Amino acid sequence: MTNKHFFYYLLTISLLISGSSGLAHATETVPQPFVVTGVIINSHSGNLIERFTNYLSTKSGYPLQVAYVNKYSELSRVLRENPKAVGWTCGAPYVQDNEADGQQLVAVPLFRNKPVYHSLILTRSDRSEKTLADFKDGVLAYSDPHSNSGFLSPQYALLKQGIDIKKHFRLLLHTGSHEGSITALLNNLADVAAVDEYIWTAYLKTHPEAGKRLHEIKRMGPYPFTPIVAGNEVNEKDINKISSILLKMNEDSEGKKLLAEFHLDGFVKKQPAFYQPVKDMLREVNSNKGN
Amino acid sequence: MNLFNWFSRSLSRQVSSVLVFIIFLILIGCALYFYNLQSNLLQQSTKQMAKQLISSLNSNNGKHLHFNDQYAAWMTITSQIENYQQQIGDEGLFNIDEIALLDTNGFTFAHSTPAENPLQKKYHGILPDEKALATAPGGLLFTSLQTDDHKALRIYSKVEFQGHPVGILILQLDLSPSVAQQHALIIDFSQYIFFILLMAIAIGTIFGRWVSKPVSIIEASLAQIGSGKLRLPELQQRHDEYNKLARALEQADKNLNQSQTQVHLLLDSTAEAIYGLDIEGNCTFVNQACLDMLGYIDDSSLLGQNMHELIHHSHSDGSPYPVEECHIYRAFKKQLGTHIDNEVLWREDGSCFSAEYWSHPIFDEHKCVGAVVTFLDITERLEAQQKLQERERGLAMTLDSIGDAVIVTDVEGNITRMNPIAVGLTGWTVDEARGRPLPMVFQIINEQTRKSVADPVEKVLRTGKVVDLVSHTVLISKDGTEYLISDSAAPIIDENEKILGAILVFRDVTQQYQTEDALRRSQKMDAIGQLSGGIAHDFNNQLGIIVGYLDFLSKYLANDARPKKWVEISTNATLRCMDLTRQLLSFSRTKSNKKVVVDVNAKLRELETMFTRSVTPAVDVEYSLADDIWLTEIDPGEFQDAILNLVINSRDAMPNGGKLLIETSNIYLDEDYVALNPDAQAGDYVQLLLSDNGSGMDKKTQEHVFEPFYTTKPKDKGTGLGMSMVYGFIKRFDGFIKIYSEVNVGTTLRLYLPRATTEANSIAQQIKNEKLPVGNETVLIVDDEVDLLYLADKYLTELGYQTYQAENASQALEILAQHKEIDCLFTDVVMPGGINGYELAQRAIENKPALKVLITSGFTSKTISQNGRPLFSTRLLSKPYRKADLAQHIRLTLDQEDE
Repeated sequence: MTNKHFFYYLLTISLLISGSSGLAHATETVPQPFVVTGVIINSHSGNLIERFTNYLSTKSGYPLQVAYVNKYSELSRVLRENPKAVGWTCGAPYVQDNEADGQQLVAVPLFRNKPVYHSLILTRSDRSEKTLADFKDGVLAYSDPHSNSGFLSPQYALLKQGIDIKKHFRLLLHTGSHEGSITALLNNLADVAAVDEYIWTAYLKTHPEAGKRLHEIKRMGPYPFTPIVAGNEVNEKDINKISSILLKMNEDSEGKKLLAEFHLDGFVKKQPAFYQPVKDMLREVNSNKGN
Repeated sequence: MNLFNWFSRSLSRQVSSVLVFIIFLILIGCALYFYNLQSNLLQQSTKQMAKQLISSLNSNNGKHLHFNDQYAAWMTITSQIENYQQQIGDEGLFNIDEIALLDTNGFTFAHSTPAENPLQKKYHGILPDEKALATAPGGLLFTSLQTDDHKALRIYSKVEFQGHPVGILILQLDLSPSVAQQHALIIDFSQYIFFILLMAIAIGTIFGRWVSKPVSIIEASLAQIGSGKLRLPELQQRHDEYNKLARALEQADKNLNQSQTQVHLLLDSTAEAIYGLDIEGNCTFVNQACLDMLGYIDDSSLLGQNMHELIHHSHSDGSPYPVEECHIYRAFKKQLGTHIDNEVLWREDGSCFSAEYWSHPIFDEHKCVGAVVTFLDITERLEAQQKLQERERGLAMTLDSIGDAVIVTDVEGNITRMNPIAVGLTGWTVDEARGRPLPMVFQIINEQTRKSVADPVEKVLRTGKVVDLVSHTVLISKDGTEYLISDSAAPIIDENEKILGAILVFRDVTQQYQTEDALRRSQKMDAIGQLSGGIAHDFNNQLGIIVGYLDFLSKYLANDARPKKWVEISTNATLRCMDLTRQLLSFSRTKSNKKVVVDVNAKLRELETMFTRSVTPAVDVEYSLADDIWLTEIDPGEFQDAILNLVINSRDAMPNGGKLLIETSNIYLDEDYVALNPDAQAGDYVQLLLSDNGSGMDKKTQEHVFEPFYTTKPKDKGTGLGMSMVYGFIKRFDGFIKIYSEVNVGTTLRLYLPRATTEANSIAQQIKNEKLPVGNETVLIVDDEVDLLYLADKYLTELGYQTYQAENASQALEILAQHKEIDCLFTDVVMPGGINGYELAQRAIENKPALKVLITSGFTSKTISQNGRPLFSTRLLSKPYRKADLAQHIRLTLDQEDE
């Protein structure tokens, strides 16, 4: 190698090193995942999540990019592995992730002006069963094993009756979403389903005929609504920025529009203790697993 | 006309049809080929698409099965179905019936219709054969099946994840679209084929006509074949084989014409009418004789016409003669000939004539193409036959009217004709006898030697001369009855003196002989009477002279005792001779000098004491005198002598005693009786009966008993003039005497003395007016006297009874065994064969207790009763009997209640 070549080699290395530094510095401007699952969205969501994410991102200055995962466990993993990510999770996974990963609570949606919702036990209108326990050896459709309304809630309810949900039904049909559970019911894949009230309400708006074909046999809750959460490395300032945007969404037209499309009334700031009921259910269910 | 005929009658049609058929076959072949090809393509496309679908399903379902993601699997299935529907729309080759994803345990993991196939339950559809699936090419097992409403293709596929089997994918395709496409294909092809077929028909027709035109020309010209005028210029212009054919046809026409001319000449030369028929019964040719007989001028009126309708349409009486009944037609249909000679044919002028016709079918290569009918006018022949038949009928009537039996034979001696008399005597019917040799029917023997007599007809035919039978010839009829006959046989010779046969004429002379016998006996008795009378008269005169001179001598020898004794002895002997000659004269005297009306009953009563003294004490004399006895004109003195003589004879016949019955009765003897008794005459009689149970007389004695000097008594016991004296007495007073005697049984004498003519009211008229009892029962008549047997049969048959006959007891028993319907046994007493009438009756009643029995005998009932046979003594009809007697006795017997 000649001296000329060595000079150019050193220059290249220097530039690379400085570029990395700059790149490292520029990382904070790379959008972070806004993680959502199929549990929370439905087939008519269209690009709502994208627009919502853009709204948040733009408004908060915290760049976000939609990242879809098909289950809460994946959402938990993404937020774990991307601690600066933000996501919209369910109460039960938040409780677990909050404990395990330091997941942070950003805001809680208001559904019918309340930060709570119910878990509905639905079945087809021509069925004669009255309770969830009556569907022994049947098929229970659920959205996600980590879903509060989709699985934890019916599990807890049966546990209270001394019934192990995993033994009571011949099949626990994992559908990946509440809408999927509704679909499974409508198509005779399942005999009974545990569905998020929020999703069911939104579904009925676009599928009013489903209201005749399915009926509610049990309403459980109210439970804390599915929260907006952030990874453990999202700083407080950013969390507050995002939270503030969410809280003030109904103060601007775009936010209102988004809220209307979400069928939500706004967001509210809550403390992690708000999810204590879910935590309690989880504890009880988990303690019974060892029995 | 059926299709085959339509087809086979036209070359153009044949060529066209063949061409069309060939084209059609080609089209069908092509259609089938392309259809097959298209079907295969459809099937392959179906399979290919199915494979793609399977592949798409399998690409994700392995993972779903492995990770137990049933919802995702179901989503995959439904999305595949939606994708397929969106992709193919209405143009697809199949619809998806079912997609089922099963786990390795055969449970439904995911299903296109989860409502019918719930998740996590045992799949209840058709599972694949594991081995077949394992070895299926490409891991895909295709099976075809038929659901309730469509054809389906069911595909099984193993589902693997990372090389490990995790389940089975079942895809069932509804092939209705594919089938519908195939049907549409068929319809399309059919339309193309139909169109092309029409084209083919058009082409074939044009081509066929082009090919067949020359043939049509020839066909049209063939009608002229035989005319000598056939010309085919259209074909002669050609340079191919049709040219040669045209020339050959023209030459053939010329030759045929010449041949036809010869045939016509030949046909016209015959005397028989001949005409030809085609298969439809239409006339094809006639000869001159046919035209002449039918009255047609030329053949134009007949040719082509239906001959049955023209000349054979009706019977001789004008009634329609349907063609279906016509013998020509029937034979024609069966392809047979026929020959009829009893029908008529009709002329052109509407008249008919009797015809004899023959019909023969005409064959062409074993196929009947027509018939030839030949006929003759047989009117004259029929008339001649009729005359001949009338002559024969007259002859037959003549023969049948002859009172003698007539049998005619042919030159071979076989019977050709018999008249009713011959039938009656021989016992053979005409039909039975016709054709048989004469000796078989006309069996004759000699009456005395009982040996066969030579066939007289054989001699006649041999000699050509008349032959008479010898006398005493007996004809044995078929049933064994014997008749005394006299006959003669003569040859039947024609005008050329050729023997045509023989005629035998014979008659029953049995009665004639009997009458002649009786006459001869009577004449013999008359001759004997005359002879003996003549001798007796002369002898009596000489005796008178001797007695006179002995009387003189006695006076001269009054004092000489010894010579006076000698003269006295001589005088007594002479007086005795005079007594004998007086009896002899009495026999020979034909007329009575003294004839008065006498009541025989009164006379008998007067003589009763004398009769008693005349017999021995051991003889019991009994009298049975009719209360209303008629008077008769006789000499009382001679009557007394005659009766006394008979009483003495009876006494002599009963040396050890016995019974003598003297009975009187009135009786009318009818013509039938006279026929059997020539010495009797019909009329009213006083019957005087003397019946004893003495030693009786045999037949030979009976025949000679009335001859002078005939006696069975020892020399010193009788002169043999007594019975002759009785005979002479009876004859002088126009009576007659009958003897009925059986050896060791007894004798019954019946003396018949004419009723005095001064007595009014003959019973003959009464009897003629009397209505006889009749009946329809069955009676068996048994009598060894054949004449009486037939007389009784004749009487009973006329009275309405059914009868059987027997000549002896054995025959009678056989007949009784065979014929259970016999109601009454009418039997004589004494018969040959060892069984008499009583024994016969006894046996008959044992076999049939209900059988009625009537006995007939020459003895009286009292005599029979005295003989110890009281059982049948009350059912006795004494011989001889009249028809009225038989009628009454039979009726009484049949009406009598069972004992």
